[in-house]
Amino acid sequence: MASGQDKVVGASLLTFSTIVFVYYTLWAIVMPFVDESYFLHDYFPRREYAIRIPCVLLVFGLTVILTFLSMVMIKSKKKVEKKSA
Amino acid sequence: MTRATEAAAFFGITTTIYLALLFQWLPITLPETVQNFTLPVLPWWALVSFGAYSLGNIGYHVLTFRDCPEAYDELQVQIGEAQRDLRSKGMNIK
Repeated sequence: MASGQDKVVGASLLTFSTIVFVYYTLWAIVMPFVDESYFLHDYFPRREYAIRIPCVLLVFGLTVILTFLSMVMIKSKKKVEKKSA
Repeated sequence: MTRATEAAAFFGITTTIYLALLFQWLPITLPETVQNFTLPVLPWWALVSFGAYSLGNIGYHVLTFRDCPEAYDELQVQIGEAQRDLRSKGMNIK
């Protein structure tokens, strides 16, 4: 079986993703249909943030990934130019 | 139908239905909350769910990864045989 530490990492990833999924589904899909005075609303931020947070994360993530990609591409092109010079 | 065609068809159909409901091209009236909040949120919900699913899938497979002791033993035996064989022919490999 996977080593003890691997198991902990795997289990924590699994529980984290489940929690994220359940919380976000409740927030974005269920809460709009729930009466404003119901106690559950206290556990969630305002609804607009349900869209803003994934949007920001997406933009941020794409920026990081594409910047990394472009740096690698520039570096490899420089190497090719150096070799042929 | 190839996997790619199947995936493209699925996305195409879902996107068309979603856009039709969002821009109210069909003579269907949805309840106000659904039209004004649920529909705009659906793509983001799909993105978050996909991310959560991917992460969970990785976590699950890391958790249940199986070492194969039988394969390890078999490999050790084969390594020993290969070493003996090469040694008899003059090469010494650690």
